[in-house]
Amino acid sequence: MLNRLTMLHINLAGLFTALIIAGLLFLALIKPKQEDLQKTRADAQNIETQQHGTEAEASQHERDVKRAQQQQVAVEAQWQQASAEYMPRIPFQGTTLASYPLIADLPRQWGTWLASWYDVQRNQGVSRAPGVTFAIPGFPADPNYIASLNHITFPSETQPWTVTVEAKSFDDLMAHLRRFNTEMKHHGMPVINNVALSGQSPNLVGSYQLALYIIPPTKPPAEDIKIGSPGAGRAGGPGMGAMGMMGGYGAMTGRAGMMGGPPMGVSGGPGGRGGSAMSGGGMSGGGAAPRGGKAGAEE
Amino acid sequence: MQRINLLPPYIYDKKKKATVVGVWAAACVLVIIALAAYAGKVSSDLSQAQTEKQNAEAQKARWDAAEGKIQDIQKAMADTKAKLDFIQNAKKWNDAWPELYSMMRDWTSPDILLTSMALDPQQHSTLNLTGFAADERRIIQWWMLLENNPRFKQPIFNIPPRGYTPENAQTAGGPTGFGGRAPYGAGMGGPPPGMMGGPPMGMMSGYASMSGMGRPGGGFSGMGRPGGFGGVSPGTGSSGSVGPTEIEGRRGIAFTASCPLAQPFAGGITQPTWPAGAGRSATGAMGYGGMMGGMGMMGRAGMMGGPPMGMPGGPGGGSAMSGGGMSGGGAAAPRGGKAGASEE
Repeated sequence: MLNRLTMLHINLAGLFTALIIAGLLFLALIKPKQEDLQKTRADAQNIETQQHGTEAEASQHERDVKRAQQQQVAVEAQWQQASAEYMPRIPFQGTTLASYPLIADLPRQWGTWLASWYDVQRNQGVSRAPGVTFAIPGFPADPNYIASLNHITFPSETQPWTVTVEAKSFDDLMAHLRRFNTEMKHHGMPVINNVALSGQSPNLVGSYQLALYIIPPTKPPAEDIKIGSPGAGRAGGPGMGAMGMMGGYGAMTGRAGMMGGPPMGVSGGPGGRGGSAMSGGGMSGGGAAPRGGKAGAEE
Repeated sequence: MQRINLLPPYIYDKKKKATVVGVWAAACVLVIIALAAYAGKVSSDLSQAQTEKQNAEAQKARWDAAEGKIQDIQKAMADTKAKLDFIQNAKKWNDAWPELYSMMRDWTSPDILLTSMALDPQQHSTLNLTGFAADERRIIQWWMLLENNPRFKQPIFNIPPRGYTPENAQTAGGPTGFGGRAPYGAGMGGPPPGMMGGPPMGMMSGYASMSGMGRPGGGFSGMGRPGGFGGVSPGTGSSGSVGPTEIEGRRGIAFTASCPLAQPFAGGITQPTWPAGAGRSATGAMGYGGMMGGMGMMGRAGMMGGPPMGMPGGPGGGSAMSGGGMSGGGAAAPRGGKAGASEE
């Protein structure tokens, strides 16, 4: 057979054979691995650059963890300090019912304390304008409302007090304003707003809005399921809201659970907590539960 | 003697072909060996890359774990941090008021008597003032001074315009008294020279007559007031409008000014409330002006009505009115209830 082949044939056959072997081996052995290699390198690169996959970044982030832990401790400590400075100890008892009389007395306590806080400043050249009082609406007459009392805003969440004071001098008035941060302790965080000055010394008049925000350091007691029927209680509020002036009765009857639904057939609505539902009703219907009730009674 | 190969060349062809075949066979083997070696190198590289990838993944896992811990920590302290932020913002907010007003006091010229000062209740971005100065020049000087105050940008003053009316027009303007209103508003303030001892019925203030700018619908300006009433006590004068007035026996000009703050009030924080965002609807209940006190009283928070001095009015009126309106109409539920009871 070799005799029939010329040298040219043999060279061509050898060349093609070598090429074919090389091609096959490349395709079978090398190319897949090269593709794997490229993909692996790209993945590694992506992890390192895009997904924080480097030793430096990981170490840095572990240091960030320690920093965050330190910050957490610091924040907690600062809050404890601020809380001890500004927040009062709300007398929560073991149950909502036991807490109720103590909590219900808070508006009176705060109102009288604020009046005295202002009156003490007469010696410092600042006095309340005649007629300035610190009325605070009562809490809803539902002991279980206390279970949701994780914050309190005096006088209410929607309306601050409007305070007018008379100062003997500008400095007296400025000192009075600075006292909110420094001397109004353990009664919630005071926030003043819309301060306006008018007149001249010694009859300088300052007007502003004031609200006290209380974040109780302790948790309120859990809701007592033995107190009334939540459904009945909640239905009463909005129902009375629709009834307008009868809000007060709604609050009372709702709490007692005697009136399951609104007398006019108004749906109880989504309910929610008795307090907030009643408050909402008050706006349109004629007053919040406690105050609305009072207003209704007076009328 | 030389040997001669007499055999024909094809006798050796077979041997040559075998040699060439052998060469090609060797070449093929070399190709195989070379490619195998290269494949081995690629495998080695691949193995190394996989190791690097695993290492990167391990580092990523460390980073992810750390990130998870950080998020857990942040989640755990989010509530506490929000409460702390509220306290800090509230302190900052409370301190910003006396700081702003004290700064304004420090920048107030001794020639200027400020009668009211209030930050606009909605945006907290403009300090509105009403004041008094002996003459226009002193107001202008103070205006120029305030323009250099880095805490303000482009303060705007509202001072009385100065017109000119010929002599005969002045004569003609006198009788119009009841029909014309002083251009400076109420016109009760003691006008400049010439007014003192004017018509007993207070027909028209000097400025009105002189300027001839009386407008229909006035007449209240001088009604029932003896001429030369000039000495208007503070607060009962021009009621916040600009114009001539008299304070404590000193004649001068009442003016108003608006000074937009160059930097946001209290560092740009919003009014702190807890929970965040609660109770904001109540802002602006007070207004800053005295004149609109009545509106405030209507609302329920009567005591916040106008300051006793009743100073501002004028430009302050708009803000005060809107504020008072909100106070009254938008009272919270509890207040609304009580207000209804008391009003009815």
